[in-house]
Amino acid sequence: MKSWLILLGGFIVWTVHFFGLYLIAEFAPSATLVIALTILCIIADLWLLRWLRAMACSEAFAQWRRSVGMAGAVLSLLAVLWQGLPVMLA
Amino acid sequence: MRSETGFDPDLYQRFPTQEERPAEEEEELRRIWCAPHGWEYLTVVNNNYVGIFYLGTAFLFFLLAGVLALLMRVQLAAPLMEVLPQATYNQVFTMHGTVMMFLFAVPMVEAAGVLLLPQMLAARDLPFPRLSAYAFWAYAVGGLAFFASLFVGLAPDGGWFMYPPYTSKAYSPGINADFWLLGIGFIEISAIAGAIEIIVGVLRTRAPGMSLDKMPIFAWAMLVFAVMIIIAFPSVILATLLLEIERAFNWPFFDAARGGDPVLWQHLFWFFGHPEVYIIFLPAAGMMSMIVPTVAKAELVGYRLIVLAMIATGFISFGVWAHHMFTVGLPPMTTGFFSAASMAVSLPAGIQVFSWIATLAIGRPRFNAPGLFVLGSIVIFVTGGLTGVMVALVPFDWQAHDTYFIVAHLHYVLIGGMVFPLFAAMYYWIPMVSSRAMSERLAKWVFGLMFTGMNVAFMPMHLAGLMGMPRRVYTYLPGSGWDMLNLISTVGAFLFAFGVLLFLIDLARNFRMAPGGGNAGNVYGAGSLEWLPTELYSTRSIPVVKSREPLWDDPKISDNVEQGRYFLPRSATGLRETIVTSPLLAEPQYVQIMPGPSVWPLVAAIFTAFFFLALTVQAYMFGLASGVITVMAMLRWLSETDRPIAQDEVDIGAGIMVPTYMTGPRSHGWWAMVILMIVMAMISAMAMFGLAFLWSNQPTFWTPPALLGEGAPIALGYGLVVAAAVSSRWLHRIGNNWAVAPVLLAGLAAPLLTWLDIRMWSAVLAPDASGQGAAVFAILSLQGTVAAIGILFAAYLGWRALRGLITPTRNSTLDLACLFIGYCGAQGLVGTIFTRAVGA
Amino acid sequence: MSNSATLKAALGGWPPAVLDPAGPYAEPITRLAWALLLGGTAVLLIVLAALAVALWGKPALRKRLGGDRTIWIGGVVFPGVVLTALLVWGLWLTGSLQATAARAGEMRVRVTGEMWWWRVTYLGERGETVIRDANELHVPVGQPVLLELESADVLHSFWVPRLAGKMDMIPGRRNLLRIRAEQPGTYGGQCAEYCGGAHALMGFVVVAHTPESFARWRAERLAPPPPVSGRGPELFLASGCAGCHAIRGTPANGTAGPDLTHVGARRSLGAGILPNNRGTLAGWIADSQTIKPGNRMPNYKQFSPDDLNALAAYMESLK
Repeated sequence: MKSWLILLGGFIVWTVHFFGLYLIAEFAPSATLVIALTILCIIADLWLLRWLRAMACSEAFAQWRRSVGMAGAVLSLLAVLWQGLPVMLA
Repeated sequence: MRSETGFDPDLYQRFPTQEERPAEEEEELRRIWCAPHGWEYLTVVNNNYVGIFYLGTAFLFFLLAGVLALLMRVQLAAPLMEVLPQATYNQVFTMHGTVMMFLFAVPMVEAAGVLLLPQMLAARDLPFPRLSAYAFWAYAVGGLAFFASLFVGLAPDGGWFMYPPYTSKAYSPGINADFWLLGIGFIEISAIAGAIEIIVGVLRTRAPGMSLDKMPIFAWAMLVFAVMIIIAFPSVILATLLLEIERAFNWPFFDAARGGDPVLWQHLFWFFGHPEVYIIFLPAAGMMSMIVPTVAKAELVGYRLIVLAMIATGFISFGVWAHHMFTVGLPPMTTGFFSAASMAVSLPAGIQVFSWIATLAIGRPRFNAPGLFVLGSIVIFVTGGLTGVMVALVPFDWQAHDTYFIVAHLHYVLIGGMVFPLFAAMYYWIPMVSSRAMSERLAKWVFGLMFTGMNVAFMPMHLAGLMGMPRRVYTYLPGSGWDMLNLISTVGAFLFAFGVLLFLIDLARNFRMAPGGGNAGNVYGAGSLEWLPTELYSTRSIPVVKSREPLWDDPKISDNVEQGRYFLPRSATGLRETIVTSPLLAEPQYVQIMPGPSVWPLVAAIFTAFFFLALTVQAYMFGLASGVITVMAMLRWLSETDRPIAQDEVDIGAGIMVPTYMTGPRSHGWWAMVILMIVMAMISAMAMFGLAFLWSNQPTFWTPPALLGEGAPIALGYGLVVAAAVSSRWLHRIGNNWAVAPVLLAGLAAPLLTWLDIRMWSAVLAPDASGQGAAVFAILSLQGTVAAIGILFAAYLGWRALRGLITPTRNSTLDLACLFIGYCGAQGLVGTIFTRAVGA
Repeated sequence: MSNSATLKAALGGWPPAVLDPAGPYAEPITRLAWALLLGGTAVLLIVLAALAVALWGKPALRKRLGGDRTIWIGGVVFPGVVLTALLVWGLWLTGSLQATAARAGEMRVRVTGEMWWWRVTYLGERGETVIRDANELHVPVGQPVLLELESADVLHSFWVPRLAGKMDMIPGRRNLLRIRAEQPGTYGGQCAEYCGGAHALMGFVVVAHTPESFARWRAERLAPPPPVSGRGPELFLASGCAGCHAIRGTPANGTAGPDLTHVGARRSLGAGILPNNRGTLAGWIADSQTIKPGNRMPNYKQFSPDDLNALAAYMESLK
């Protein structure tokens, strides 16, 4: 379980952000909600990066897993920022 | 992490074993995995055969849909041509898109998975061989029948995306649209069956030692592909069901005049439709990542970045669907973040392209057949990706949408991202299944014609779109200025077709099927496991994997494998076997006994096809009969599963003992059922989304729903069903044979709850009177369907229990029944509450 | 194809319409389009160059290209920067082009998509119908016009590329699109959402007038129609044409088909596909099914050449 959470962590954050935005826009449009969600998800991604960086990994598999997880968190961060832009710019 | 399951990795040091293997071992393997003769080709389940049948059928559909494209190009070569009259053209373009997307692209890559994955993972077969046989035959029979609708003028003409209201009964009164809805609807079942197999196969049947970070990229691609199918296909399955019900029973899901909404279809369709194109692209990209290292003679640069890119694509592609709907009138907040996500999804593709470039840079690339197609693919795909980024920007899309600019874009990404990798893959892997390789000399001509033809055909379309030419037009008028562009496109299309023709000639001259043994060998010098010496039983022994390119890193591995010096050099039980391993580190867990040839998947598949076709042509008696036969064939097939084996544990090599049977969450059957539950949950979730969407978009048609309080007893009932399923399983495990009873009763009771719910709702709403009514009754109908299958499950469970086939140590069937019936209760619980909560 | 009818496109020609804007709701899109086309071409050339170096470059260069760094820069950093800039531009432009609700005193026209023609209704201050027309839109130059886009049957899409992006027409919804023509002239368009049948032959024309010309046009449209008599009008009423068509000032008030009160003045026939003259009018009446298969008007082949001529002349006179 933990391995999958590490590998997919960044993308789970992205999923929560994206579908959260969609539900907000569809059922309860509000710029405040969008910005709050975006900030929360950015924090989650940053926390993920910190947690993974601090993780002690002695074997090849664990190191590989951590490195994929961190790259995923970086991509997720970029995507979350972009998705929050429309509201933050308006 | 040293071990995932408690297996001691030091045990791998015992391999390769040194003692001589007895000769009878190999002969016994050959006998158990015998080749079919005559009629036996229809009942074969071995992936070596099923994979080739599947690939051949998919390629046939490519050719058929390609011919349709040529007809379209002739018609459009000049203004006001009369080669295809209006109605015929509209059917032809619909079939071109539908056949390419549903009958060629997805089945082709799924088939590649069926054929290649077990070999790449050094497994003896896929985990559910009869399921793949069923999936193939259903697809082949159904697909050909669907295509035949063209010859009797009954082909659908609503475009491959079939937007209502045009495809509603009022504007499409004939059965053409029903052919699409029922025909394609059930082919989607085929895709899901394949996806279940691939997920379980990739995660649970890898060679010992092949941890996730050593898995071939194609396996990663197929894993993501299959998970995407599980999440995306239910959306289109639901949409096609709803439209068919609207046409047949007048339930107004998409009829704005009665509180439905045509835009609902678009959301449901594109939630599937966009991931669909990445479903098509990812396996092809996975193939590229296998072929590029071999062509470059260098290990893949950026392996973990490519894995990341695939996972990223898998997720983010679910967040871009509304970029197909930018002109529908969505609010700017919505279009804004769909535009952002559409930008984001291009990054993973770029990562993969640069990985390939970097790999080519550090190696010594050769311009052999696969090499040429790989290069062509990169050039064409990048072009298409760039126009994709352009249309991700909303204002530009407002001009380009629904014009030939999009036709150009989609063909660049699909031909560059899937067709060219496919041809590279065919040249590359045909030597694995044919006694002769293809012709390198002819390949250069094939490539030259296809590459040139493709660009000549599709580049001008960008300009035609900017000059105002819309899509899906059977002709255009003089004075538009589109004449020369279209003529050039037509010439290009024929050049491309000529290249394909040359390929077919080469195929006819050189392809000689050799599903096990006697193949042309590792012609291109690849490093992955599918190039080990194989027969119909796959490899003689299943190796321990220590790196990403085992054949490059261990020159002795082929010989050792052939001499039986690794796992399973024999059949331990006298039956077909493969090793089931753990998902992360691939540690051996148990031996899976696999089925041999069987006629039941074929029978079930044919009658499933007949069932859906009968409904289309409204031959209801015949449909009913076919449905009954299908269910009987499936029960007969199921009854052969979960049978006792003489040995409890066997030696799979070097004294390592594993069980021959597994129940509970570690069994492959459990995994398959859980995946199926996810599919059902997605269908249910989409139906609930539909209800919420109609409430939010058509509030004037809303009436107050049934009361939550009154629905509480039904919800409670469903809760008890879940409790019964959970308790049955737990009680039975601790030794109570009678504990089959609670779940059995729950399975029989669940439909009653649904019936009560329907009665309660009938007093409030009518399904044909409003979109709300239709959506609520759709949710109830889905529940009823699941519950009806639950009855079958309960009856089957009862039969097995009476035959004494369910004991505390052998209770896989009970496990699966508890999962299914428990799910039925959970879905009912959520549905009962949700339908009463929305708009209360 | 048919005899005297030679079809002619409403939309097309050189330069490409999307790159030849004629108003402020199209011009910024064209600028974006050029940036995208040139930028996209540049990126393609960069990638091709990288590929060329990877295949044929000097060993030192190739070695530098062959690492994770290439992937990060090419696949993440470079696109990240470029796409952020593009996204900001695109989002801002979307917001500024998005049609807001009608402003006070703004000209409003309702365009309803039908299979396979366009119903055009000019609205007054309170949303009441002032002028009925079909397949053509008349606007004054330099003034924004708000279009209310609806559909009477299936999905359609309104698209006049030189003036604005497209917007779909969806039954049960009203979509807004604002256009403004800066120069007098005719601007062609075509339906851009597959609507079955003769979707390919559903064209449109926007005519932009100078202020004086527009005032004249409006006066002509609002003026009471002159009385008519003769063989043409008689045949019109006797042959059931009034069942679908309306001509103001006569008993004909059918609404299923286009309003014909000023059909003689239209720039085209058949929804932007035929020139408008006595010959094409006659051809359409007699055999519209050959010109536009599946359209909702049946053929009227029963008229004698004289009668047909009279009808066509009557239509031609309705200016």
